[in-house]
Amino acid sequence: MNSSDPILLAHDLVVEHRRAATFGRGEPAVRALDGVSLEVRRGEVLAIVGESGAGKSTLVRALLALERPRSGTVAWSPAPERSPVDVRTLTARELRAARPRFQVVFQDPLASLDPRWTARATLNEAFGAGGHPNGEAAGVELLERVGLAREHLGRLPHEMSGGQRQRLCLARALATRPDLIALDEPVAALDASVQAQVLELLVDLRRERGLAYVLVTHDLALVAWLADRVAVLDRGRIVEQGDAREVLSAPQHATTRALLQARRELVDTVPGTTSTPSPPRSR
Amino acid sequence: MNEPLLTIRGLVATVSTAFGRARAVEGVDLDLDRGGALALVGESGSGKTLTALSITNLAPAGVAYTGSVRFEGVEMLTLAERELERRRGRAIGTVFQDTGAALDPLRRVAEQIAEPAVHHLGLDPAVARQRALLALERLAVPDPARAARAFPHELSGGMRQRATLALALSCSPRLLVLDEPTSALDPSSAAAVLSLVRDLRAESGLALLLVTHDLGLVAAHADRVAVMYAGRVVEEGPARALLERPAHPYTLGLLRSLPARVARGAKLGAIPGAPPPLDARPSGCAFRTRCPMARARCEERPPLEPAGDDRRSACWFAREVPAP
Amino acid sequence: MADLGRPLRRFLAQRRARAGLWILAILTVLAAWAPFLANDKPFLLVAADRGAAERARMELVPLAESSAQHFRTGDDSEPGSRARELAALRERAERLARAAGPDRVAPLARAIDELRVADDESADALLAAARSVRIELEGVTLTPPVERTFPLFAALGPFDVAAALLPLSALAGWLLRRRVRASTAWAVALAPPLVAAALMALFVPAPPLLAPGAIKIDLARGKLQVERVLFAPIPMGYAETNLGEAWRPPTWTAPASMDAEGRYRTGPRVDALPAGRPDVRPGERALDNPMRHPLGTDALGRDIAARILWGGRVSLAIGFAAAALLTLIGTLVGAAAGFLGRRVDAVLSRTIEVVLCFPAFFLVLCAIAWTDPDVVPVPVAVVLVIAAVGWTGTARLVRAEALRVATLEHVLAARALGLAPLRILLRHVLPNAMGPALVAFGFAAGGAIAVESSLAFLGLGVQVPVPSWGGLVGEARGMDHAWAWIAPGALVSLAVLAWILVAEAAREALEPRSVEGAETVHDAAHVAAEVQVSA
Repeated sequence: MNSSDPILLAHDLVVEHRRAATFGRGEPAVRALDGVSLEVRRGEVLAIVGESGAGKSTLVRALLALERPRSGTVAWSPAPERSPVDVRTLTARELRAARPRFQVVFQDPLASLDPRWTARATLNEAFGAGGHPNGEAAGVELLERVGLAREHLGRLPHEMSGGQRQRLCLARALATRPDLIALDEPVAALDASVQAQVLELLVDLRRERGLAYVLVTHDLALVAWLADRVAVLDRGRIVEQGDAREVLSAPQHATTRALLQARRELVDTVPGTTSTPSPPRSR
Repeated sequence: MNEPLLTIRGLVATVSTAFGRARAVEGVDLDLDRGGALALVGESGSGKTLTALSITNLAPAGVAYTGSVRFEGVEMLTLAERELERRRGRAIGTVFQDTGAALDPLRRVAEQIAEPAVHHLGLDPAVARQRALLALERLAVPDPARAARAFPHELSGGMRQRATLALALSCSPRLLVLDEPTSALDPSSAAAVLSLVRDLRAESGLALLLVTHDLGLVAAHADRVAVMYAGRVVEEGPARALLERPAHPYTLGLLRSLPARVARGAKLGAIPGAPPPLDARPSGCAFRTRCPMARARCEERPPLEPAGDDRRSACWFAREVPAP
Repeated sequence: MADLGRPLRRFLAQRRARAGLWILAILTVLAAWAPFLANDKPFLLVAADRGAAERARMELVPLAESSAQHFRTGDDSEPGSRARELAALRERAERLARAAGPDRVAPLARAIDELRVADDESADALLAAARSVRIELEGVTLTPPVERTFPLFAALGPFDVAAALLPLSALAGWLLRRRVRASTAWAVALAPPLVAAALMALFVPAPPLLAPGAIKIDLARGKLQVERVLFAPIPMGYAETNLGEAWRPPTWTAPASMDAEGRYRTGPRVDALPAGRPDVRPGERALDNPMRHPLGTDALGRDIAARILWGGRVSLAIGFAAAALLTLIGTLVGAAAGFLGRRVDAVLSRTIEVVLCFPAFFLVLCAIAWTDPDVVPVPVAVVLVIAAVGWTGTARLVRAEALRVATLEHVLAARALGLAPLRILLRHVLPNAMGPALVAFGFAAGGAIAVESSLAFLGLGVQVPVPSWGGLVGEARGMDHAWAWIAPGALVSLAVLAWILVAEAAREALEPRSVEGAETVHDAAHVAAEVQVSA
């Protein structure tokens, strides 16, 4: 497994949002993404940062082919050792067959789970989609891996806490043995003491399974801690991209600088913290 | 000037539904000086929001308060509705988490910001609208004239939050309550809002009650901090000192679990478990089920006691809490 | 898989939900058991029925003729009607055998057994045998044995049986709900009526049609030597006329007083005297008994209480069926429009808008006027028409909900799994978008009852003599006979009100707004903390 092979490519993506009209063209479109190009390599963590409205969530949906771009390409590597293929060249069936390899975890775990389905039902559907063996044993194993217990199989989302729900969403994403998981603010809606638990889980899973993450977040400290590379999004364009440590310590573009500055103003060093990453400290 | 602006003693909030009663807030004692800034830090189930709502008695039906909440010497919990209304919006401004909810979707922004001034201060409506426009400028709203004429849904989240802040500040209140001001905003808007509040405080001696779960905010904007867990204050003291050297294992755990404290890729010190739900709080010290320092003594609930210079902590072993 | 528990509990916790459900339950039970509450046929008749025997003698030849016709070559009528007519003929023959001796009827019995399909010879033999038996029986005194019969039960059709079983099976399902799985409880509640109706329709031959009051007439004329007879609480049928008692006010307000000629007086107005002497038929209460006609009579002397009970079946059933059908159509169309993409949405939304342009009630009137009652029975036509015109409101509600649900993250996650769109629609979108549809169902049922009543009022509903509440109101206009339309009108209003209460309670249950609606103390604090108030 060559770790520098790209498994997800985007080239010159343009996504427009336009209000629907009864007939005709309606109002002029707004470009949510205006020529975005990036790549995600096997096993790496790419962070996407930017202000709200910059297009981060739209980018996640476009990368997962949940939203159709106006122009530009999204290419997926549909199997290990195969180079990425433009998703538009795939038939609908082939596309659906490739989807299990690219999963997503959203910010609000309550909205991400069907409120009427037990954990068991949710996992079984995911197992079925991925074509992997399902059944009680597999479900329990998966739940335990994400830190839940066997009892949770029969629970409904509203019977679980926020942290437990997010773990279940992670379990669902893992059920299809993906190569990449897109994480859209995965811990922002969780309590502070629970965030750390889920973050550690993400790190462990990545190490175990060689997962790649596309991490969308506001939290630059999280980026510094977890990401290999970072892309800064501003009004639909990537204004800076590169190794996380470098970009955060020596930002080139005004937007990146503004984000770092905002974080500094906001957070003003809790004693002992750094707003830029530092080499491992000896304790 | 030595009488605190806000004094809370023994505040208890009881939530009752068809399915049972529970105390969301169980005996909170707090002080806030004029011009000071107090941060209430806690997670879900800590009771921080209900504590903040008690000042203006704005909790919904089904929540009952007992205890004492004195604002400028006046007991708020037993105040008549008319007197309460005189203080809301005028002496006490509140900004809630949901950026849109405080604003009436059917009326233009400037009109809404002007309304408290007209109602409470008796200003001429045209003058009040002018003041509203100035407030929006001050709050660095882009194109303030357009924003003033707009309806709330036409503005972005950040701008709505600023408009709500302008609304809260419209009568130059003496106390501003901010509930989770940053959770709905991206960093830049949040930074702008908070630095503005800091400037205003410097100018006008405005006191601030900041309710949040984000320790980073606390360090930057609060003088004093009260950490709440499971309905009680577990630690309280000056912000910087408390964060440098916490006197309660929960605060320590929160600090240690921040990614910002830790080197890249290193392990976070996550607190195991989750905050307890309202109807299932552990007896004795509520944190003992998750506390790395828990011992047999913790089955007896520790009172909130002095623990060093101008500090209070509700832990039997406050002095043994290590540095983060 | 659906968690109905929480919304259902929230629903039942509301007073108006319970009130509405009680009203509907009572009205439904009364309607379902109407045949047992008001009927001109007795439950139990232990008698020697010479009237039936005489009728059998009269019907022998005509029945034989039509049966024989079915068995000739060149007749390809469906086996169902062929079998039914033959069974009727056989029944008459057996009755005559019991009344006049089997040997007299034996030739006919043999001919029946020897009938073969598409065989002119056996058909002719049948006819000849029937004629000869008829002549043989001429002048013979028929002495039927004393039989125990259950005329009321025998006259029930599959629908009546299903309706009668429904309250019982629903109650059984309700009582079992905690002890068995949900699906079993539903099966117990709904299956027995359907199964019973199906079995009846397939295997039980239709009973002979008796004219209203025929048994009572036989009783009066001594055609029945009665040992025991047990009538329903209201011993009148809904179609049983009694011209001598036209326009009688509720008898508990106006006991009869007779004039010199033996006619009862309705009140001070002399010209309101009815045509002739009213007869008191066997089984009925006396003329001056206050409970003889508890709600009075109509223009033809038919008992209004009986007509109201039977009319409820039509009104309530049509209301429910029309609402169910229109909710089904509206939900499917709405969900498809909301979820299956912009093009599908464009087509469906434009269709909805076009249908909405038509004034609904006029469309219904036209459609009813054009349907042929022989091809489509009127109740079915009314249901279809109301559904065809009314589905649009539900479709729009469900479409809006589906659009919202489609953007929800759990639907996106399902798409990310690679599931087919139709599957996502049925398993994720539809169940979560159903909420407004259920609420709309309640309002639609109330509306359908009102529409059906209006149609019946105008004379376009079910055909006489089958009553419907609206029709009852239509038959009795004017203040002279206020009693005749007050009760059915009030019942229509009550039924509509009950549905509206249920629908509003359902809406509140699906979107709780108050802390009091919270399920747990934890929820309540959550709601309390999130309540947004403006300063």
